Amino acid sequence: MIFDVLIPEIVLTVVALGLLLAAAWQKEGQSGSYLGYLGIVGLLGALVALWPAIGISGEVFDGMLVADELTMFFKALLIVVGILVFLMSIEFVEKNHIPAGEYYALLLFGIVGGMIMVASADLLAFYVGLELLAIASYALTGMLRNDHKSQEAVLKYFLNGALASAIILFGISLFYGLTGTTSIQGLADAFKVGVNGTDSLVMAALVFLMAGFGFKIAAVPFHLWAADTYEGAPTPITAFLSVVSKGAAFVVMMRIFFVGLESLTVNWSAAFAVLAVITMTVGNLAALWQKNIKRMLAYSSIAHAGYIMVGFAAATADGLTGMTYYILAYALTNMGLFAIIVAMSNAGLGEDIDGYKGLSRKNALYAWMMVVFFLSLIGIPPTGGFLGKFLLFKASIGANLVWLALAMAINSAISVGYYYGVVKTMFLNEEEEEEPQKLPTTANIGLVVWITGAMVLVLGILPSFFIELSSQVAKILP
Amino acid sequence: MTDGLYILIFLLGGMAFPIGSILVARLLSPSYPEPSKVSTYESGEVPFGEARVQFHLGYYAYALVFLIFDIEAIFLYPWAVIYKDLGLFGFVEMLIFILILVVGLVYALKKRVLEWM
Repeated sequence: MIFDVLIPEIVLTVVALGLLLAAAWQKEGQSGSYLGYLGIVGLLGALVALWPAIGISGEVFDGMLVADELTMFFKALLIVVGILVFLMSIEFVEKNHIPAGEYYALLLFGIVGGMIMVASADLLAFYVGLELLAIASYALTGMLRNDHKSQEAVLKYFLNGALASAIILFGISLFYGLTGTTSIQGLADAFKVGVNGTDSLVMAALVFLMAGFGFKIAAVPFHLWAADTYEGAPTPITAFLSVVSKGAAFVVMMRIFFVGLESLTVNWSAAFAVLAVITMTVGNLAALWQKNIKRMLAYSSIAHAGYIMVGFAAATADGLTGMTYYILAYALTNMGLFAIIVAMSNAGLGEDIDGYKGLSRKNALYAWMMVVFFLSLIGIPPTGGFLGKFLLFKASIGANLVWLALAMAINSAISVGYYYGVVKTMFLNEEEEEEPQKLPTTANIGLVVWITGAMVLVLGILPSFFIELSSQVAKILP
Repeated sequence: MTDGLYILIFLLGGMAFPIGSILVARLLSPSYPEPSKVSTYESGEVPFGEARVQFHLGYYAYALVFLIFDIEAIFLYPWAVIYKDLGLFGFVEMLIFILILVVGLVYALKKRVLEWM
């Protein structure tokens, strides 16, 4: 039973340790691309190893980890996202002389950390997973050792991340003091019977937990580190941070708030509603002024954290389904988008939006796919982002939060402004007379762009299978 | 409110004690300064140089490796105490744990972290 559920994590850990050893014997100046492909093989193996665990549900390790629909869905998503990050990294790592073995090993460790997070049934198991993911992310953010921006990024990320971990831990310790347990199900049971403390202490514990998670998902007003970190980190790692770190934190929040703190729903759902509106509005307004595409997407990712929080504000099964579908669509869209940004950076075109001038004539595939991804981020059919937003919209109306649905609609309209700016730069360039130099599509990036582009469209046009999967996730509700 | 008062009394008492004892020692003790007395205490060594020195960068990597094996020792103690109850499973599990740490050590060795340049 234990091994049925844990084989993917074991496979990834063994491969990561192997990569670390390979890195130790790596000669100076020798290509490390084969290590990246080795990592992809490991990830594919882990994806296959998920198979025996389908349909199994229950707890392992004395209730530390759990296997259920939520766990399976997000473990599979984490592994797929891992493969995409590996594919877009290979050329980037070569070009920027990043130590390959360490880079790929840390990525795998981070993915394992995320998988432990989504499978945790106990606050301590969650914390171990969180730290595994966070420490790997810190090291990966600083991998461009001679780039000042990367060093600034890692310092800000590390200090904020450490503070957030401390705040989360303090919240956990308060809940432990109140209930005498760190098990998430145990919390739920303890709150039904009544806890050993005053209401104000319960609220203090809740506030610490929410503030800590606020840092991790970069919700306003805990978002100040995000833009600098996303800008300075190596671009594939920016993609990793915006999807894996954020997504895994959201999944843990689903379990903690919807299951563990179900008795306090009235309190946290109202707080999340306010946070959601502030986060999406500040994120979208700040994104309007950005000249650097990574900074722009950092603020856009803050805004998306705001949209996802609408599911918490609704606090219903529909909200849970909506968040799950939204995270799926957002993850694939962001992966595709960042793959194109990596390709541009590999070609030496920089990260400023000005560098995207005339991209439609240099590489039509990239330009058109970027349009598809932007449509998905704005939430326009026929893309996955539209359906994710629609499900959350429906959930918030269903929970009588019409004002929240309205705020979402207004914010989507604001976001058109900055996405359209990039599209205009890519397609309209009358002043250039001669035919610009073509930008060839490389195999790895092309693969990522095709896979994610196709998936984003499938999620928008033929969504029934994935909606069914997402609604299965709501089975965790008591 | 009375709880807060107790904390305040503790706080004031706690601050008064070290300040008071330093003051009393200052007032009562005789003072005969000489060069060896006023110099910095270095565990009996003769102090040299300034306190603001830069440590060798290798020191940090060295300390990190040390820390990992320090923690390994802490885990080994409780494991040894209940070793008999755990049986073969516990033995294999600890073997895997140590193996993972050894991979880290081999990595550090190959990267010449342990060589003092």
